[in-house]
Amino acid sequence: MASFRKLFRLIGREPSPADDIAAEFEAHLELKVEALIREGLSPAEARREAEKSFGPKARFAAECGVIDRAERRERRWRESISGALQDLRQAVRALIRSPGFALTTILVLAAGIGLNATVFALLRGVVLRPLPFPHSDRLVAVHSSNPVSGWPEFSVSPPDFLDWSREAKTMSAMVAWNTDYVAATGSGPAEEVPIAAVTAGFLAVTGVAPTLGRSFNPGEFERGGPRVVLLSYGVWAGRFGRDPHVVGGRWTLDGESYEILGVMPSGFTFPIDRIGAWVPFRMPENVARQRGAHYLEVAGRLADAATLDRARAELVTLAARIEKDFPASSTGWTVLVRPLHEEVVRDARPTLLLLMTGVGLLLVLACVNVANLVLVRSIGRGGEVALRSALGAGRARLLWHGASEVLVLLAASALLALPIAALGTGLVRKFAPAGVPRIESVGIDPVAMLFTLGTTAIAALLVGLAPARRIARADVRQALAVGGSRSLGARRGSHRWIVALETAVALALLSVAGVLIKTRERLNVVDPGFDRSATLVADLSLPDKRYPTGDALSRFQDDLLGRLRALPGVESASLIFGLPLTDFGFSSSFTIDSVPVPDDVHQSAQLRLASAEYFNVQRIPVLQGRGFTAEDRRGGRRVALVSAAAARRFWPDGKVLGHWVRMSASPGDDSPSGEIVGIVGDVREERLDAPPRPIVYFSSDQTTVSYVTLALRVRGTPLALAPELRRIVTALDPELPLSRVRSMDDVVRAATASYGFRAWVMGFFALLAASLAGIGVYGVISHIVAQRSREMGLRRALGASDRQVVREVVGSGMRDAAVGAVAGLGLGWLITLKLGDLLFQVKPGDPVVLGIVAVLFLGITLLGCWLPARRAARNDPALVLRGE
Amino acid sequence: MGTSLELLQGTLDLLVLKALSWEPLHGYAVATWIRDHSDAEFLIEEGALYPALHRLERRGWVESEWGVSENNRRAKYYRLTSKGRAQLRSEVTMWERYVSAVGRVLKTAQR
Repeated sequence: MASFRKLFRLIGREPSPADDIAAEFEAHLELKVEALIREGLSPAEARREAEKSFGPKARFAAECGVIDRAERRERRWRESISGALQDLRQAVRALIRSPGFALTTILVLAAGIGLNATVFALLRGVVLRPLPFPHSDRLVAVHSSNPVSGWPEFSVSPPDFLDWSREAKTMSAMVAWNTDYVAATGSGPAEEVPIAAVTAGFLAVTGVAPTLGRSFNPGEFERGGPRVVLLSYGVWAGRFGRDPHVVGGRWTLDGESYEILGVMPSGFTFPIDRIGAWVPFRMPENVARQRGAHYLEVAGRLADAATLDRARAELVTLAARIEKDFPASSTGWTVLVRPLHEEVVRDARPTLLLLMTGVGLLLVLACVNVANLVLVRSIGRGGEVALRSALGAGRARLLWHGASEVLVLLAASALLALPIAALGTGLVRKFAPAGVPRIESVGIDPVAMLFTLGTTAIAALLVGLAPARRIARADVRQALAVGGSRSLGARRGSHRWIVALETAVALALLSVAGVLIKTRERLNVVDPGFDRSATLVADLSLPDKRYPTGDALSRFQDDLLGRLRALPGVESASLIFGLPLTDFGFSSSFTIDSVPVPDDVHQSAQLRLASAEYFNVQRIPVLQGRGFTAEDRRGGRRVALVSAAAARRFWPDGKVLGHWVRMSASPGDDSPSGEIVGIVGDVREERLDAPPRPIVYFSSDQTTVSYVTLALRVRGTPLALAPELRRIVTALDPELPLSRVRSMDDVVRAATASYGFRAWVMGFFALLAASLAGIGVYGVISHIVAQRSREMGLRRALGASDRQVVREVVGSGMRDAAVGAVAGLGLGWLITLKLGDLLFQVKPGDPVVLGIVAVLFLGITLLGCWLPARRAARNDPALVLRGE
Repeated sequence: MGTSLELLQGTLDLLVLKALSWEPLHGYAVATWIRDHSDAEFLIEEGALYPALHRLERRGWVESEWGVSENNRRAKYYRLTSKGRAQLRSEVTMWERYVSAVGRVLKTAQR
C-alpha cells in the first residue's frame, strides 16, 4: 500500500493537498454519521451533529493545507537535490568508463581556459593594474612637445620645469628627474647601478615615504649640499643584505661618498624602470640660460580640484607664454600631458590585447570541438533521455541530466587550468622581451582565479548549448521508436556550423600570425646600416672623480683601445657614444658655418661621438671624403662626419664637405664642433622600423665624454672574448665596472624582441588552432559519414560509384569550410587593421599572406574531409546495410 | 460531567501519539480513543485533530497512508514511527515531571 502512493508520485499524478484533506475530512464525517445513525439519529440529524462536533472545517482544512504544502515543497526540494547529486555521480562514472573522451576534453578545455587565464593575468599585471602610488590616477607625465620639428614628445628643460612647477595651480606638486648609470663601489663588487636624480617634489608627487630612515630635506637639493642617497628595496636587499642599520652608512657612487638616508618600500619604483637609488637633483648653476637644453623627465600630481583637461590647458597656456617671452629658445615648443599610467602601459597594451584576442578565439575553438564531442556522445544516449521523459522527468531535470557530464568535465578542466595558468605566467616572466613593465609581479591571484571561473562558465555554456537544445526539442515518441537512438541525431545543420566556425577561427588566427611573422622577417632583412656580426660591445662608465679632465679620459681610452687591439682575437677596437638600437637619443640643434638659424626653423640632428675605427668595426661605409683617422687628435683641427640622411636633408645641393658645424645644445665654447670631412652611410640607430635619422659624428678624442660604449670587431664568437675584455679593463682600473657585455646580434635581437615575441606566440596559437580545427573537421565529417552510412551503402548498392560518394561528402564539407574561410579571413583582416604599429612593411590585407594561409588551411580541411569519405567509400555496402 | 477541560496544543499532540502507540488509526478512531480513554473529560472539536496529525507527520513522528476502514471506505491511517515512539517516551517523562512538580507546589500551598 505504501508503494501505491509512491507509484502515484512516480507517474506524477499525486493528488493535490486540498483534495487529499477534503477526502480525509469527508471520511471522518461519514464514520461519525454512521455511528450517530446507529445511535438512532436520522441521517440528516446525524450529518448536522457530525459537522457540529467536527468544528470549523474550513479553518482546519486551511491549517492542514499550510502544513501539507510546506511538506511537499520541502520534499520536492530534497528529491531534486538528491536526484541532481545522483546524476553527477552517474556522470562521473560514465566519464571514467570513457577515459579517452574524458581526458581529451579535459585537456583541451584546461589548455584553453589556462591560456586565457595566463594572458589575463598578464594583461592585468602589466596594463590594467594601477601604479604603486597612492591615488595614482592623479599622476600625470609632462613632456615638452615640438610637433613641427618632428619631436611630438620630448624631454623638458630645467627653466621650463621650474616655471611650470612654480606657477601651475592645477598641480599640487611636480617632480623632474634624470636617470643615469653610476659605478657603485664599496660594500660589494664594482657594479653599475641605475639611479634617478630627482627634484624636491619627489615625496609629494609619489606620496610614498621610506620604510627606513627619511626622505630628502630641502637643503639637500641646494648646490653644495650634502651628498645623500635613498636606496631602493632591491638594492637594500641585494647589496646591503637587508641590514637594518644601513641608515647613516655610506655608499660610494662614481667615486663620491654618499650618506644613506633611507630605504624605499618593497615594490616601489620610480619612474618605472629598475631604479636602484635616488639622489637629489642639483639645478645647474646658470640654469636660466638652459632653456633650450631638454634633458629632464617630468611628472606631476594633480591638485585636488583639478582635472586632467584643466591641467593640460593651464600648462599649454604657460608654455605659450614662455614661447612668447623667450623666442630664441622656445619657439614651437608646447606641452604634452598624459596620465602616468597611460605612459607606462601604452607600449605593452596593444600586444597584450592582441594576445587576449588570440586566446579568446582559441577558447571558442576548443569549446566548439568539445561541444561536438559531447554532442556526438549524447546522440548515442537519446533513448535514455526519451525513457526518462516518459517516466515523468521534467524538462529541468532532463537538462540537468544532460548537462551533468559537461559540468563534471568543466570542473575538472578548471582545476587543471589553474596549474597550467601558473606555469604559463612563470614561463612568460622568464621569456618575455625586456622592457615589459611590471612583469615581475605578474602571477595568478584571486582575481585571475575568478576570471578562470568566469571563463569556465562561458565555456560550459558554449559546450552545453547544443546538447541542451537537442534535449529541449526531443520528440519522445520518435526517440523510442525502432532505430531511435540514431534518429535523434543532430540535424546536419549543426555539424555544418561547426565546420564553418572552426575554419573561421583557425583562418583568423593564421592570418594574424602570418602578418606578424612576415613583419618579423621584414625586420630581419632590413639593412640597419651596419654589420652586426662578430661585434662585441660593452658599456663603460668613467667616474668624474678619477677622470676629471678630458685629457684624463682621452688617455684612458687610448690606453684601453691600444691594449684591446693587441689581442689576437680582436680585429679592430673602437668607442662610440650612442650605440645604435640602445634607446639612445641625444639630439641637438646645430649651426652651419655659424649662420644663425631663424627661430621658427629647427635644424637638429643626432649627436654621436666615435673613435677613428668605429666605422670599420661597424662596417659603416664612407660615402664621400674620409672617416676619422689617427691624425684627428685631441687639440688638433676639429673634424666632423655627417650621415647620408643629414647630407640629404641639410645640404640638398650636395656640397657638404668643408662646412663647419657647431652643436649649439650646450652653451659655451666646448660645444662639439668641427669641419665636415666626410659623409658616412646611414644607420637605423633609433629603431629598425623607422627611416634613418640624420646624424653628426664628432671624434671621441676631440670631444670626450665619460660614458661610452666599447665596440670591437672580433675574430670568432664575440662573447668568447668577454673574459679577456674584462681582464684588460680591470688591469687598467679595478674599480671600473664594465656592464652589458654583449654581442651586436644581441642588441639587434633585443631591439626587435617584442616583434619576435608576438610572432612566436601568435604563431603558436595559430598552430594550435589549425590542429584543433583540422581534428575537429575530421571528427565532424567522420561522424556525418557514420550517420549516413546506411544511405550511402544503399546508394552504392544501387550503382553509385565510390568516387561519387567521396565527392559528395568532400564537396559538402569543403563548401562549409569555404564559407568559414571567408569569414575567418575577414575576421583576421579586421584584427590586423587594429595592429597598426605592430606591423612593419606589411599591410593588413596582405594578399600573399592571406593566400598562403588560406591555401594551407584549406588543404588541411580537404584532408579532413577526404579521409573519412574514402573510408566510407571502401566499406562493403552489404555489410553496412546488414549492420542496421 | 462538570465543565469539560480545554486541551492545550502540546498536550493534544501527546495524546495523539499515545493513541497511535498501539496500532495505526485513522483520525476518527483517534478521536474516539481519546474520548473513551479520558472518560469524555476533554472537549475537543474532532476536526482539531487533523492539524495535529499533519503536524506530527511533518515532524516525522507519524506517517500516513490511505487504507480501507472498517466500513469499507477509504480512510487515511496514521502510524507511529520509531522517531515518534521515542518522542512519545520523552514527552511522557516530561509530562510526569511537570505534573509532579506542579503537584508538589500545590500541596505545600495548602498549608
